[in-house]
Amino acid sequence: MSQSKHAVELCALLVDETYGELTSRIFTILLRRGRLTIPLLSKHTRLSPHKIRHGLAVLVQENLVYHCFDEDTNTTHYEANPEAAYMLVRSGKIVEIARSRYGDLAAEIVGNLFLSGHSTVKELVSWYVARLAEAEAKRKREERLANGLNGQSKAPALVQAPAHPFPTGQMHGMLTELLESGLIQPLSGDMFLSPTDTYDKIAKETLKEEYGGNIKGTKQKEELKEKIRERLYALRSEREWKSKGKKRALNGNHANGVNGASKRRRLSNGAVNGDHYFEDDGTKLDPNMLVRVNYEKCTVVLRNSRLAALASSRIGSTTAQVYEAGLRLIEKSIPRCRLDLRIDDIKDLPDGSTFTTMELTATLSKSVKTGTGIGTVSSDKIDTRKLEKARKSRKRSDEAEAEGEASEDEDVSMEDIPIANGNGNISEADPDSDSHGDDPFDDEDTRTKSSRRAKVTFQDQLPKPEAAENRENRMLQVKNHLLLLAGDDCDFLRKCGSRGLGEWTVDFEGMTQYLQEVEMDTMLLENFGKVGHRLARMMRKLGKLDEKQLPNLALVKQKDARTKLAEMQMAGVVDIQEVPRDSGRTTGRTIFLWYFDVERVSTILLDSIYKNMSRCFQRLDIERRRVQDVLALTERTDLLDEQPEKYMDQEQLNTLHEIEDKEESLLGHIGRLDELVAIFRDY
Amino acid sequence: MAGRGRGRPGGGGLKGVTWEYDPSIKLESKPIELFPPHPNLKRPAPFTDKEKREIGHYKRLQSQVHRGPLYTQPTKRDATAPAKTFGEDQFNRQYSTNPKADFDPFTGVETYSQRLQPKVNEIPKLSGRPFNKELFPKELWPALEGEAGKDVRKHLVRANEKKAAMMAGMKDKKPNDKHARVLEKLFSVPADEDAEEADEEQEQDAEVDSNFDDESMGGDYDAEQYFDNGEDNSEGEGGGGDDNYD
Repeated sequence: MSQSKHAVELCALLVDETYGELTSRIFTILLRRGRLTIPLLSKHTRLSPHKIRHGLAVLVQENLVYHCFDEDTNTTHYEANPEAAYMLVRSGKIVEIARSRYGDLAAEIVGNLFLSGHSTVKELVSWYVARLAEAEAKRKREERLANGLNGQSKAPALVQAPAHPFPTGQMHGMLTELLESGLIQPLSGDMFLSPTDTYDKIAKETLKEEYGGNIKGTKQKEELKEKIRERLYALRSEREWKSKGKKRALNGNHANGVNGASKRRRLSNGAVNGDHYFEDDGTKLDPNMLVRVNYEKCTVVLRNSRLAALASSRIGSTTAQVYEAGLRLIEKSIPRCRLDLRIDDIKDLPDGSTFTTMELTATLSKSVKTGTGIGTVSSDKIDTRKLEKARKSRKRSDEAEAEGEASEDEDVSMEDIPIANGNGNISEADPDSDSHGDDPFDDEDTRTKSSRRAKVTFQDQLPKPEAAENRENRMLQVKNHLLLLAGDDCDFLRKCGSRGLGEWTVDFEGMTQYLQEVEMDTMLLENFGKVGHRLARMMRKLGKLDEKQLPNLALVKQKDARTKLAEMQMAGVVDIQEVPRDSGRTTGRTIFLWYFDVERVSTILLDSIYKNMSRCFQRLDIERRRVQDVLALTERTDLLDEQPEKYMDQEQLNTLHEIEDKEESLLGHIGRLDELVAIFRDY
Repeated sequence: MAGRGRGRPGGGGLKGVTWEYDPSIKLESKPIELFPPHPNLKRPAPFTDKEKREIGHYKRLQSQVHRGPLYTQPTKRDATAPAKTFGEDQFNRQYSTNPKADFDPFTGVETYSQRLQPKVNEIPKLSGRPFNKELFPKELWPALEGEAGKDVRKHLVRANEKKAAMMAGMKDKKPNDKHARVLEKLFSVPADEDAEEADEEQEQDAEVDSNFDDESMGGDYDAEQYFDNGEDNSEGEGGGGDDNYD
């Protein structure tokens, strides 16, 4: 993170909001001053070393500071970790990911990790057992109470899920699953060394071991750099969670096997309502292993859901679901969004991870109705009623299939996809599927059956389980969705092979760039109007432009263009470069080139977003202080778990609801701003 | 600069404006609005269910942390003071440094109705939970162990020794000798002041800050300190709190 003023302010506010004043004061000074020792910290914060030690202990526990022990001087230096501090704002999102994917238990685990920073498996298990016991006790108490009131009200007690027979096993299973997915990661002591310190340490070691202390010439320097990089890479992969061999055999492969099938069902249906049954698959983790939330992986997951949302808005919800499933397939092999230049080898990167159509169809949740969401003809030719008739007839579908085959045989010629574009399918296919329910499904059925008869080669490649017809049909539909995604202007997917009915990969950099451009355009349009937006986009596309050319190209009056450009220059969005044509540097004989620096603009934008977020937090604080007396009432120790309706009068309740609404809107706004930060910085 | 400075008799520089009296003109005497309506304000889209859930999770996590032992309550005295600060001094002055000095006689005295208010943490309570000590730097270990750690034990041992020495001294020496010994000690203190300063300060803070809870290392209730012979307080008198760093 850039250490701009606003970024520092935001981080300090976040720590203050979450962990309180003492930690935040220490953290702020660490951010402002860089690494410090305890005596220096005490000098700058005017806090006693005793307090500082306590504050630092909390900060270390919550992974918010790095520390480094210097043996030469026998001192410990502390350094702030602004990334982790920033991630506090994303905690809600991360918990939501865990909940939507792995159920309520996972959400609780991740939440608990946020509370405690890091903890051992043993602690987590005992916490869970204690919590279960508490819930059980409460349930019994309520049951007794209910029975006392009226003798036969057994029903509500039965509805509640009974406590799991083996909570320990359940917990271990869940933790293993989370570790597998990468949302949490094992923690080791050297992770508290800041990245720079780690680099220095490794560099020193390498220099000593390989070169005996000193190097000569640029060639050796390059070699050394490469060796350091390799070591860092090794160190990082050593830290990563590796599943045990037994585990992998059990349910590592989702696509086939009994266990895999049951797991899939669990993920698709059970995860939503959260009270699903966990099989105790006998996996036991080392009880002393330390775990914490893995922010890098969480960012990857967030990016995937952002891309799926983009697909949903551009193409349609079904396609987005297919896309999301595809992204999840390759998610496993993407540990982080942005590569670290010091660790990752950027020269020989492989083609990115890929997934095939067949894999995707196998893992795609049954609840996704792949038959919906795509119209079958080019939409501008036929109106909806004619379309219905045509789709029912054999002839029409044959034609469509013929075109479909053509496109499948060619590699990635997206011009002749037989399916309607985004606009077409939203306006026509969706109402159709909504009103008729299963009707489009039937259509698709007849359509693809005929295609199977036509294509023999196609059939041979497929394994034939019992529901083969259904599956092939589904696979074709999935493939159509994928083609649609690949054909879109945003290039959601890129076809890179033909294994397994087409192999797909995602160019994340391109996608991120697209997202950034969209957001930047919105910002420009809002701030500088149509003309400013147009000028900026022109400059972005054409590079540096002469002032004299600009009005002609942009089709605006020179005066307007100049005013607008000056306004934008004031805001730092565009800038000017002077190129004198002679040594006199007279204005008349100078070329003025206007340009739009994307990187600079995104930095400015990012900084203003940080500022905006800080202001939101400050406003939240002020609003809370205004109604402090009502809020204090809800914090009373005897009323913590009661409903506010029980003990508040109408006026207080109104105030409470008001402040809750305000909190929600401010926090929601912060969440949306955070999405922008993610787009410009993290994805 | 020189040419422009002289005002022309015709007008204030604006074209077509004269000094003649214009009865139709109205003076804008209203102060300008501090927060004029935003020219381009749009209502944001309503939150989706997912966003609402995210907000809910965030709020729940926050309140859980705030109820937990690691949270320290704000002591900022003036919430309406400008958020902008220039320099560390001003930044640090916003916060109270000494709870006893900043005691508010009107609200500070605990009343019966406040018995259910949540407890305010001045410093995080670290004693109640397990820590994996190997992840922390060694100098933080005493803090993790709570104040019942090494320092306290050392302090107690030292106090006991002194007490024993004093008792022994009382027996065979006259009070005059004792007086001389104390004086001698007082003069010898400034030499090793630096070495003892950190230790000293910590003890002092422990007494002030921890408000006599279980972590405190004795404070006023430490009967042993009455036998200290006043030695440990000799610097405290000169120090006068932690405000004299520079």
